[in-house]
Amino acid sequence: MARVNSDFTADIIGLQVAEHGPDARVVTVTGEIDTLTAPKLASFLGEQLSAARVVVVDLDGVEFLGSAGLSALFEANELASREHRALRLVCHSRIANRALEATELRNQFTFADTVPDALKNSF
Amino acid sequence: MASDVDPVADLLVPGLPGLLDDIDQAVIVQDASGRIQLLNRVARRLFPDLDLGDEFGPEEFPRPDQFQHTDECQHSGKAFVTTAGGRRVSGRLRRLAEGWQAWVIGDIDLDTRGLDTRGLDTTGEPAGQQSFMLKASRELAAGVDHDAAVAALVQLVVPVVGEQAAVLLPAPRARVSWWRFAGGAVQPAHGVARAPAARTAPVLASALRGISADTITVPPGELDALAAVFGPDVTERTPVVAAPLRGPDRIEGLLIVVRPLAATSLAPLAALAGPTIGAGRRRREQARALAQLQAPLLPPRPDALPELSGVQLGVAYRAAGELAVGGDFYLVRPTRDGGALLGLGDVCGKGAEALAESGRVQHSLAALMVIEQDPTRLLYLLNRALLAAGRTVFTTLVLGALQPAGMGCRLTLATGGHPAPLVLRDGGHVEEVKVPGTVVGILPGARFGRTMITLAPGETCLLYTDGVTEAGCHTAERQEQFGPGRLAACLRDCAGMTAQAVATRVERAVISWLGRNDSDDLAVLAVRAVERDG
Repeated sequence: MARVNSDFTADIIGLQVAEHGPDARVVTVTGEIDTLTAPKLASFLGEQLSAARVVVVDLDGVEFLGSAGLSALFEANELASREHRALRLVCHSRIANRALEATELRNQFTFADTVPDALKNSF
Repeated sequence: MASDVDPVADLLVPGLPGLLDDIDQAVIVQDASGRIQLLNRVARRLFPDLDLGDEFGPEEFPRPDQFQHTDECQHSGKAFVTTAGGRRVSGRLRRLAEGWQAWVIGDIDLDTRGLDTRGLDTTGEPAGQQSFMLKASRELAAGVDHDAAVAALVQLVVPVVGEQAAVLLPAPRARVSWWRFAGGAVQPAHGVARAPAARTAPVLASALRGISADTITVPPGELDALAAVFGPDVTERTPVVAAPLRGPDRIEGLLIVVRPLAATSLAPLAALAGPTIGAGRRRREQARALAQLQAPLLPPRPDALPELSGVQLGVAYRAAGELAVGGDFYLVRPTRDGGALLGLGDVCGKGAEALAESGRVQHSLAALMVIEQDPTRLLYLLNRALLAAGRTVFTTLVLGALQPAGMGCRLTLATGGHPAPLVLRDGGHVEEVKVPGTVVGILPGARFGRTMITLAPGETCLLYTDGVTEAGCHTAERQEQFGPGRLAACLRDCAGMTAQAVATRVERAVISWLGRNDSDDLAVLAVRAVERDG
C-alpha cells in the first residue's frame, strides 16, 4: 500500500491508496476532514478517479467530517458520474455517518459494507 | 558624565534630562550669559570637551561660515549645516525665553559635499546617507497605515533634508490632500487644497502626474500654488525642491522640501517612500471595500433585533478568522400578521470564500421572502435559485415561521441538512425537533420537510449552527467535541432565563469548552414565548 506524500501529519489526515488490478483502487482515509484538509482529499480523489474505473473510499478511520469534507466527497461523486467511473464508500465511522445523515447527503452516494464487497461487483 | 543631573532642566520638568538622553539629536541649552546649562548624551558624544558651565557658540564649529539660510523662521529657528567632531552635521539654533537658547544638532554625518541649495546634485552616495536611509526605511515601515506613512515621511525630512516638508496627494475634483511638517511643530498639519493648475504651475502639475525628473526645483513663479500649504513661510526667494513619489503602479504624490539642506537625500528618500505609501493606500482601499461588502451581511446585534409581541429573541455570533463576517448567519423579518420569519444558516467553508457565498445565500433569501413566507417552499425556491446561479458549495439552514397562537406562539420549522433545533419546555426538559431536509444549493432533487411546534410562555426554542456542537477541544490527552449532549444539558440550566441570556449562556459554554483552541464560526438564535402585553 502506497503512503501518500502529504503536507499534513498522519494524525491530521492520512491518505493511503492500494491498487487492485488495473481498474480498481482503494483509498483509505483517516483523521480529520475539515476546511484545511478537504482540498487535499478532493484533489487526491480526483487523481484516483482519472487513473482507475472503480475507486473505493474507506472512511472507517475518519474522526471528523465537516461540511468542507462532505463537499469534497460530493464533488468526487459528481466527477465520477460525469466520467462514468464508480465511487463507492465504506463507512463505519459514527462521526462521519452522523454528518452524512444530518445533511441528508447519504443517499447521494453508493455504499458498500466492506472493502471486498465494494470491489466485488466491479463493472 | 552622562549620568550627571542637569539641575536647571530637572527643576523645570523632573526627569527631563533622561528624556533628552533618549533622542538621537544633540541638544545643548545655554543661558543668557552663553553658559551651557544642559547637554544630552548625544551632545556629550559629539562634543567630548564640553561640559556644563562652559561657553558655547558658533566658533565651536570649525567653519562657522557654513551657516546657511540664516533667515529666521518663526518655529524652526536658524538652520545650519556644518562640521563638528569631524562629522558633518545639520541642526538649528532655537531661541528660548529670557535670552536662553538651544542648539539642536543632528549627528547624521551627512556628507554634503557639492550640496547645492537648488538641490539637483545627486552624484555619489555618501556613507552617512546610508544610515539616514536605514532610519528612514525603519520609520516608514512602521507606518503600515497610509496616513501614518505620509506623516512619518514629512517628519523624517525635517531637519536633515530641509527645513519644512510637505506631501501633496492627488484627490478627486482637482484637489490635493496635503501634509506639512515644520521643525518645532509637534504634529504634521493636514488639509485639502486646490491642485496646482497646469496653466499657472506647469512644473508642479506635471510632477504631480509623474512627468518629471526624480528631483525638480520649483520655479519661483509657481510658489503661489503652494501658499495654501506653507502659508507666508514661503516667499518668492525661498528655495523649494520637489520629488515625485512613485508607487508600484502609479504616482502616489509629490514630496516638497522647503530650504533644502541635504538635497542629495531627496530622490532616494522619495524612491523609498513611494512604494510604502502606495502599499498603504492600496491596503486602505481594500479595507474600505471589504468593510462595505461585509456591512450588509453582518447579522443584527441583540439591540437591533425587531421587537415582536409575545416573543423574546436572543442571539450570539462569532466569526472565526480575520473577517467580521463568517459563513454563519441569522436573520429575522417581521411579517404583516404580527409574526416573523426566522432564518439561521451555515455556509460551507471559512473566510472570504464563505463570506462571498453567504452574501449570495442571504441576498437570495431576502428577495424570496418578499414573495413567499412558507419556510418549506422558501427552501425549495432557495435551492433552485442557488443552483441556477451555479453550484459552488452547499449551505445548511433552518427557517422558521413564527405566528402568535393562543397564549404563546406557533413555530413552523423547515431545515436543509441542518442540526436539529432544541426546545426547552416548561417542565425543564429539553426536546430535539427532528425536521427532514437536504443541504441547500447543490442537489436538483433536494427534498425538504416541515415540523410544527408550539411554545407556551416561558418555553424557548434554540436554533444553532454546528460551530456550537462541533466546537472541538484538542489537547494531548483528549479530543472531544462540545456535542449535542452538552448543549442540551446547558439549555436545561437555562430555565427561566430571557432569550438573550440563553443565547449568551450557550456562547459562553462553547467558548469555555474551546479553551485555547480555535473556534469555528458560530451562530445562535433563541426564541422564547412570553405573555403578550395587554
